[in-house]
Amino acid sequence: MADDPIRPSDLRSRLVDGRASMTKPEAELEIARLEARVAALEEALVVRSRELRLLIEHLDERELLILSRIHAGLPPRPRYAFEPALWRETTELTTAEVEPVLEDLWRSIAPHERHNAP
Amino acid sequence: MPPEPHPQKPHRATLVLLAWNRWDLTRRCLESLRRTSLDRAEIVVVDNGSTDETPERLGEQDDIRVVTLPRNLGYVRGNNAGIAAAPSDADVVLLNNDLLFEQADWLERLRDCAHSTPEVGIVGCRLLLPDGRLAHAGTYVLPDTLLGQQIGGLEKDVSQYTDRREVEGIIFACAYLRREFLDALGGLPEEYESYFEDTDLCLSAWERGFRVMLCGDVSLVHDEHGSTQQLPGTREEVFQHSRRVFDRRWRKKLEARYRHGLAWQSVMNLPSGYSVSTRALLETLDEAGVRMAYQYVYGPGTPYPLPEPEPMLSHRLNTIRWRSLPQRPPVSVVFGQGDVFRRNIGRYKIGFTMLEVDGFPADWVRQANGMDEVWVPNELNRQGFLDGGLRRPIYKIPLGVDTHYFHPGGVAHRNPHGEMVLLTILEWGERKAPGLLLQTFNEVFSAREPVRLVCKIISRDREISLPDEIRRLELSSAGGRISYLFNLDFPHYQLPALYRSVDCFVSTSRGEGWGMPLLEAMACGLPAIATNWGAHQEFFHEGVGYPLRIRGTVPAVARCPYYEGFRWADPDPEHLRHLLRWVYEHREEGAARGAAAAREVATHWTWESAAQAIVERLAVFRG
Repeated sequence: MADDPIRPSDLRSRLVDGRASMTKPEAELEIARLEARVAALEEALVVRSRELRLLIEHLDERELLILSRIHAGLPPRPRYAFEPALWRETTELTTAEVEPVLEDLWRSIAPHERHNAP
Repeated sequence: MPPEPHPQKPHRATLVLLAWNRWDLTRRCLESLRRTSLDRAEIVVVDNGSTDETPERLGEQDDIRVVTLPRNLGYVRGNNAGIAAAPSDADVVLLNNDLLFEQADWLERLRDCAHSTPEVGIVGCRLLLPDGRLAHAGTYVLPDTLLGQQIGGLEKDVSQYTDRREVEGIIFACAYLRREFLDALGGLPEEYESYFEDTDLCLSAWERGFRVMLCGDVSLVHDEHGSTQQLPGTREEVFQHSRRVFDRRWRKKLEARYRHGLAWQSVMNLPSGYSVSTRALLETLDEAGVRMAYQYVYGPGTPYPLPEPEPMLSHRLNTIRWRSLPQRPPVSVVFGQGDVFRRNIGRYKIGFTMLEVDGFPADWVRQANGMDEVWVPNELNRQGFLDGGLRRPIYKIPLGVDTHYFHPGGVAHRNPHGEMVLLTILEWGERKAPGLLLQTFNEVFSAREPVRLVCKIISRDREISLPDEIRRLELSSAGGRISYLFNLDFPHYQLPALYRSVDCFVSTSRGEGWGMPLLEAMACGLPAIATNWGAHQEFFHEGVGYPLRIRGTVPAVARCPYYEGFRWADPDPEHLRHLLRWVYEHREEGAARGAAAAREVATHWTWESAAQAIVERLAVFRG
C-alpha cells in the first residue's frame, strides 16, 4: 500500500489558514477542534490500513479484484471475464454476441485504470 | 438493351402505396413517409377494396391521390392499378403499407441508384424488422426448392450489405421501378395474385437486359405481412398457386444457369477455418453457376472421427447439403488436411489444402500424388509440396473474405475511454507466439498511457491452464494494459463489429495457412502488424500494413504432428517493440494504410475472386 503523500503536519498547517480573521479565543477553540478532528482521522486511517493489510494478507487476487470493483462502484463480477483471475477456466466455448461483450469490457475498465492523456 | 435515359429530365416519381384494411398501418406509414424528403414525388394510395375505416380516412388526406378499387383484387392487380395511375413519364415506387420510413433521404438515394446507369430497371433496399434484425438485402431462388429466399438471414444489423450491388431479385415491399423498365415490361405479371410476382419480374428484368440493384445505403423498417397476417389460410392458398405458376415459368431456366457441377468434400459446421471457407465457397460458387454438392470428409476412420453436427445453415447451404451426390461425381474437391485426400470420390480428383510451415508430411505428399491436381492458397505451400516430391500439377487458388460484411463503414462499439485499442485473435499455442506479443506489449507501454491490447484467446487444450500460462509471463501491472476475451464464440457475421471497434490488429504468428483474421481486419480498414513470413504474404505488404521482420526460420516445435521436421518464422522482438510504439505514435499513417488495405482486399481478395479462380480451373480441364 502506498504511503499517503500528504503528511499529517502538512494537513494541520493548511487547516488553520483562516485563523487571522478570528479573535484569539475563537482561534484557539477552532485549532483545538481541528486538532481533535485530525487525531480522529489519523486513528481511523490506522484502523483502515490495518484492515487493508489483513485483506491483502488473506484474500487472493480474484477476491481482491472483486473488492476493488465494488469500491469503484462496479458490479462485483463482469458478465464476461476479461482478466485471467476472474475467468472460470474451461475448454468449452461460450456463445456470445460482440456488442454486449464489448460494452461490458469497456464498462469493466475501472476508473482507477483510466489513464491520463500522454 | 434498355433505352438511354435523359439526364437533364427530372425524374418524377409516383409512390404507390397499396392498402387493404388496417388503417392503423396505412396511417403510420403515411405519417412516417411525410417526415421524409419527397422531392418531385407524389403519393398515390390504392385502396384495394378496404371494408374498415380506410376509405373514409383516405378521403380526409389532402396531399395524396386515392385510387379506389371496388373489391380486393390482390397484391398484383392492386399495384398495377397504382402503376397505371402514375403519369406516363414518372418512375414508380411500390410500397407496402406496413413500412416505416426513418431515413429522410431514402427516396433521393433510391432514385440516384436507379439512374446510376442506363441498364438499371429495378432497385430495392435493405429491410429491417421492427426489432432491428435484417430481413432483406436482396433475394435468390434455387431450382431445387423454388422457395424465394431473402438475403439477410434475420441477423442482427451489423451494417452488412450496405453497399450498392446487383442482386438476383428483391421483394417488392419497396421497389423503385424505372419508367424505361415499366415501358418495356409493363407492370407486375398478373398470372400471380400474390407472392413470386416480384421474383418473376426481377428474373424477367435480367432476361431483358435490365439490372436489378440493391441500394444498401437505404434501410426501411418492414413490419412483415401487416395486412395479411390475420388471414393465414388465405396466404397459404395464394402462395401455393403462385408457386405452381412460377415453377412452370422458371424452373428449367433456373436449372440451365448451372454451367458446371462440383462435389465438395470438406467440413462446414465445426469451429475451423476450413468450415468458414467451405461455407463461403459453396455459396459463392453455387451463385456463380457451379452446381455444388457436399459431403462431410471427416468422421470414422479419419483424424477427426466424430460426425458433423447439423445446425441451421442458410437455405442455400442446406439445399447443397441435401443434394444427392453420385457415387463417383465427375469432379470432386477434398478441401481439408492432406491426410484425407484419399477419401476423394471423384473421377477427377482435386486435393485442396494448406499448412502453416514450409513443407508437408510425407503422407500428405503421397496422398497428393494420388490426385489429378492439387490446390493450395499460397506460394509457401506450393513450394512446400514441390520440395516434398509432388509430381501432380499444383495451382494457387486463393481464399477470400466477404466484403459485404467485412468493410470499414458501419456498426462499431468503440472504447469510450479514449484509449487506442489493439486487437489480436489467437488460439493459445506455440504457433501464434502469444507470449512474445503479450510481454512485448506490456514492456513497450506503461499503464498510464491510453493504450490497451484486447486479446481474444481460444484455448481448448485440457493440458494447459491459461491463467497459469499468462501468470508465468510475469506481466507488470505498471506496463501496458491487456484485456482478454476467453473462449468466446462470436457469430462469424458479427466479427466486423469487433474489428471496427478497435484501432489496430496485431499478429505475431510464426506461420499461417492463410491468415483469415488478418485479412478480415484489413477488409475492415485496420492497420495491421503481422509477421512478414508465410501464407498471408499473398495479400499483406508494406503498402497496406506493417510487416514484422523475422530473424530467420526456426524448427516448428509444437504439439501438432504435421509440423515435425519443418520450419516456421522467428519474429523479431526488437522490431515488434518498434512497430507497436510506431503505430501508437503515428495514427494518421496507420489509418491511411488501413484504408489502403480495405481497398486492396475489396478489389482482389473477395470470395467472388476466389470462386472465379475455381471456375477458370473448371473451364480449363473440362474444356
